[in-house]
Formats: sequence, C-alpha cells, structure tokens
Amino acid sequence: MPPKANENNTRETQSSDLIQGTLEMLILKTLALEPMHGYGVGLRIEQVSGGVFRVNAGSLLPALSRMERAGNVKSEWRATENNRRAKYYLLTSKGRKALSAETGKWQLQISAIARILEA
Amino acid sequence: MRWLANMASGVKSLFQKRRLESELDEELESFLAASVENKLKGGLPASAARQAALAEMGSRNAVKHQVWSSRWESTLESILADLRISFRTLLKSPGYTAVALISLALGIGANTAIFTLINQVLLHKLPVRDPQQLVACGDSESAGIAGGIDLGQFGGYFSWDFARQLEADPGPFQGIAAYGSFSDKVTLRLTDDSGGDANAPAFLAPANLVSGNYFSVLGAEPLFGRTIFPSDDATPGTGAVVVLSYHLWRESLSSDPHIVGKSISLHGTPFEVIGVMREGFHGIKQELEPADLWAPVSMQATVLQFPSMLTPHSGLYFLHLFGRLSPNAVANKAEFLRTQNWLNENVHNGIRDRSGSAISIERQQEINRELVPLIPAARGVSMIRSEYGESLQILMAVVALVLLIACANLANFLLARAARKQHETTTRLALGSSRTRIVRQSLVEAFLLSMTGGLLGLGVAFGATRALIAFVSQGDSYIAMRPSPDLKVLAFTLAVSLLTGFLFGLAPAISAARTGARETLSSTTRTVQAGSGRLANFWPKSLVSAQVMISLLLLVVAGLFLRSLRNLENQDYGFERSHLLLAQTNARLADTRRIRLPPFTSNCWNASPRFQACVLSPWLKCRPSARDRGHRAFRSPATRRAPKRTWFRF
Repeated sequence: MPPKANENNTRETQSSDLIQGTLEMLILKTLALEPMHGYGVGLRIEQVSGGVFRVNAGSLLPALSRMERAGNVKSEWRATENNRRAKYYLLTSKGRKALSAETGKWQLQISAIARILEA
Repeated sequence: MRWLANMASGVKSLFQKRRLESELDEELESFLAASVENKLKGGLPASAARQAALAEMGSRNAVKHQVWSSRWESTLESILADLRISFRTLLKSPGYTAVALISLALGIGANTAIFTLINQVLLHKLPVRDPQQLVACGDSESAGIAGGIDLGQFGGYFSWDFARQLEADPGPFQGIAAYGSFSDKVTLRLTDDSGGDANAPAFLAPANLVSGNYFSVLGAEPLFGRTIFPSDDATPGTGAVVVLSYHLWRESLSSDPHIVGKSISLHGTPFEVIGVMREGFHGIKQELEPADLWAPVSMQATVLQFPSMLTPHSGLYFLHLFGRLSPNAVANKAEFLRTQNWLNENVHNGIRDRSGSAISIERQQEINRELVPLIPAARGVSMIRSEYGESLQILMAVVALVLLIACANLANFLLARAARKQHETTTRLALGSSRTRIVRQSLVEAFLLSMTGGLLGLGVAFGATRALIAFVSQGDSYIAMRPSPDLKVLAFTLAVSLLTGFLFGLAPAISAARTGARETLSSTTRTVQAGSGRLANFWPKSLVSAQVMISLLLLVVAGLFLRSLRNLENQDYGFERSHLLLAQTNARLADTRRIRLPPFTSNCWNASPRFQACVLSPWLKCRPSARDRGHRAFRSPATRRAPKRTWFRF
C-alpha cells in the first residue's frame, strides 16, 4: 500500500503533497541521524523541508508501523527530554541498506526527470 | 526468514490486539503532548496550543484504524469478522440455509462420487516404476483361451512358445513379459506344518499366471519377500511358488508376518509363498475382481487344471504380452515406430513358422497385413475402463449440469436476499464502508455455504460411491474400486466447492457492488434495484432461463435413460421367464477331481423331482464382447467340469 501523505493538510497553501513512495525514504533519512519519536520525525521533516512537507499522524504512524514490520526500524519506549515516555524509533542495519538503495534509485530518477525537463 | 518473523508478529498482534491498542493510545498521547509542547514554544497560549494540536491530528480513531490496516493481519481479521457475520446471517434463516446446503451437498456429492470412480478407473496410474514406458501388445482386454487364430489377433493372444521367444530377445524393448489373459479362481487351502490339509478351510481366490520376468519388466517391488524370478519359470511343471496380493495376505492370512517360506495349497498342490506385494498392486490387468495370487506360467497345468499348453506349436493362445519401451521410444515417435515395426516383423515370422511349409500368396499377403498395435499401458490394461469409461464421462457431464442448476438456484436466492438487504448496504456505504468490503462479505457468505456444502457432499459421495460400486460389482465381495476418497478426490471436491461458491456468489456480489449512492437512503426506494432498470433484471432473468433450460435437458436425458433401462428389463429373450430359478453352485470349492458331470446332473434331477426341467449352463470363463469377431474360436477351460449355473423350471 503506497503511503498517503498530507491527507488532511489543507491549511498551508505553499505546502505540497509528498510524492508517492517517498515518505518512507524521508523517514529513514531522518532516523539515520538519531533515534526519534514519531512527532519528532514529522517535525524534523517539516523543518528541514522549510515547511513544504507536512506529515500528520495519520500518515506518519502507519508508515512507521509498516517499516517496523518490514524490519527497517525498531522501536523502544524511552524518556523524552521533558521526562515523558515516548516511543522512539531506531534505524536497523537493514533500514540503513534500504535507505542507501532508495536514495540511489531516487537520484537516478531525479536526474532523469531533470534531463527530460531541460531538454 | 523475514516473512516468517513478519508472520509470527502478525499472528501475535492478532492475539494481543488489546495490548497493542493501548500501546498505540499511549503513543498517540505522547505524540499529542509533543505537538502541544512545540506549539507552546512557538508562543501560543496553552488552550489554543492544545486546540491546534488536536485539530492537526484529526480523528484519533481514524489514525488508529490507518495504523491497524497498514498491516496484513487486519485483512485476516476483517475476513474473520465477515465469516462471523455470515455465520450469524445464515443461522438466522435456517430454512433457506438448509435448502441451500442440501442442494449443494447433493450437487457436490454427486460430482465427487463420479470423480472418485473416474479417478480410479480412468486416471489412476499403475503403482510401478516409470509406468509411462509400459505398452500392451494388442488391446489385451478380453480373457480366455483361443485356438485356430493367428498370433496377436483378437485382442492380443499369444502362445507360450512365442512369448518365450520374445522374453528371451526383446529387441528394442527394455523387456517383454507375458501373463495369463484371465485370472482363474483357484481353491486355496492353508496347510499346517504337519502337511495334512484336509481340514484346513478352503476358499477361492483369483490367480494369475505370469512369466518369470513379469515383475521385473513391470517394475513392481514386493512389500517383503521376493517376486517371481525367471529361474522359477524355467521348466514347465516346476517352480511351485506363489506371490500374494496385499489384500489376500491381510484379509485371509491375517497379515501373518512369517508367511514367506510357508506352504499353501492350490487345487491340492503345495506352493511355497515367496513374497507379498504392496497395497494397491493388482498386476498390469485391472480387472473388476483383481488377481490375488501370481504363479509362474510353468505351473499352468496345476493352476488352471487344464492339460499343459506349454508345448511348442500347441496352437493354444492364452497369454497376453506387454513390454517396457526404451526411454528414447517414449519421447521419440520415430523410435516408437521402429519398435512397433520390430514387433510386427516378429509376429509375421511367428505366424509363418506356424503356418506350415506351403504358404499361398494370399495367405502371405494376409500375414503381412497383420498388426499388433502397441497400446499405452501406464494405467494398466482394463476391461472396466472400456466398459464403464464412456458411461462415467457421460455421468460426469450430467452431474456437472446438476451442480450448475444448483448454482443458478442459489444465485437467485442470494440475489433476492441482496435486494432485501439493499437498504443496509446503502447505509454501510454511506457510513464509509468500502465497496471491496461489501463485495467481500457477500463472497464470504457464498464460500461459507459452498464449503459447508462440500463437506456434506463428501459424506454423500462416500455413500453414493459405495452404492455405485455395489451396483457394478453385483455382489462380489472385493473389487479393485474403492469408495474411499484419496488426496486427489479431496482436492477435486475443494476446487469444485470453491468454484461453486464463486459461481453463485458472483452475481449477488456484483449487484452489491452496483448499489450506488444514487439509490439513496430515502424510504421510497423499495423496489428491487429500481434505479438500474433493465440491467438489474438481467441476472435474475438469465439465471432463471438457464436453470429451466438445463433442467429440461436433464429431464429429457433422464427420461431416455429410464426408458432404456425399462426396455432392457422387459427385453424378450424368447423364452418364458416366469417360474424360473437360478442356482449357483461352487463345485470347485469342493474337491473338483471327485465331481464328474454326468453324476452331478443326475443328482440335480433326483434331488429335484418337483421341477419340470433342469438346465445346466456351461461355465463360460470368457465373456467375449461384440467386438471380438473370432469368439467362436474361444474355448472355455472349464466346460468339461461341473457347471456353475443351473436353471430350474418349476
């Protein structure tokens, strides 16, 4: 099932729908820096993309659950900096491999699309 | 291995759904808290921050549902829920369910019953090594002793000396072996160690004569002991050894594990038991009453109680031949033809050898035209197959039609129910249920019905097969066909049930899927699929017409069948059939050597003064079918002994 991104996001006109199939790659990339909880991942994606991508709970949590099932991430309950309990997601070695594979494929597609658009 | 872990965690989460749900709740709570914190940092007042966070997250239940349905076990769970609903709906209308199940059980049961027979008669391969390499020389279906014919004619009869010649030199074949064309019943007595067999119980068992290389060419292994070797069959009159079938060993010898080496008597002559064959092995000839004993051809005089036919140029033809092709001849047509030509060549030479010195030109040409076709024998040689094969195929077609009628009937039933449930369906659609889900539930209900029907059908099939076999065997205690279904039959039933469910579930499912939002929830929509007009009427109408059409066809066919059966029963045989008694005597169970025909006949006369007439019908071993043009040449081996059937008129 392809991830559905930004289903309920209608408020921000400048924000954009995620391209189909890229949400998991972005999550992998985000988690590659450090283990994070669900909201943290969404926030990081929003911040780094400069507010272009907003990922809400309805797409983020199913994606994380899917990836956990696939073995790309694993989760554990930890205390946050504010001493609250939260589910943290960690990248597994399999996830790391998946990230590099996805990134490679993405670069290829991007450059191909760019060449077509510039031709 | 990954999918295994995936599977395991899926199953685990199915069982721990409550724990998972509370964990998800906690995660959502912390998600919300983090969101609120972030908004507070951005400078919003506390109440507004919470408001915004809640709005951003949307419906908490929707999020939970999305997480849940991102995993495969959710599909399984919803199918289980569909099953539960279907089960309850069916229980709620027991009358409808009973009718549906009975018609399905009958339809599927009839199909399974006929398929069980077809599987055994037409599809079952011999339980031997590489059965596809086996070929019979001539059709080999009839049985008896023939004289005054040419080698290999009238269905592949051969004489002993010719069979010997081919056994020794099989040419392009891997091997050629011979066996007696019929399995005569022998009087069998178990002898004890002291050698006295007078008081041991005797019974009859069909025995087949086989050449020394029969088992090795056939590629059949014994359960234990050994099979007959060429050394057993070397000299006529020697080699009193016998191989038992699993059935005989089990039923009559109580599975004696030390049977090998013991002695049993056939017609009063001791034979040494050398081996027991595996279960399901009945030899290459698949007879209705399968052979239970195999003895070397060299013991023909003893086993058949008939003067020796094991002399060169005896002129008596009682053996059938079969061969094992080389692997090359199986794959390659040219090689197969070469093998066929080699056999014909040998048969021509054999006929010339037996035709005396002066052969006229016409005779020469006739000999050259003789053909002994190689017939594939992977499924054995079987009279049952040619006798019942076609009828079984017709029956299969008929029962398939019956099942189709049942399908059409049920489809209409379900359509009518779907029409009644239209309001409910529309409500579900309006509440956000997906069309897939509704179609799935409709199909699940159909499959639940068809699978239960199939299960019941297996029981029906078991009874029906027994009845059919009893009809075919006409009272014989043990025949080669068994009513018990094997794996292939079970798979067939499963497939038929699934197909049936699909057939009668499809129309209602499609109609459920068509239920659009146009047929609104307004209470005015009462008529059946009023909105879709002609298209909506297409299914029920075509179903009914198909049903009537097929029913009519079947009724006519069944009527014709019954009519023929009645005609056969009332057939005019040319004599008065009332006041007739038929007595069957098994003279051979007693000591045959002591009974001679004239005293037996007069005994019948003396014992029955009240009868007007007593007719002894000769015991004809062979039942030549109309196809055997040369059947006047058949001689029964037993005509000169006591008759089996006696007619009395009173």
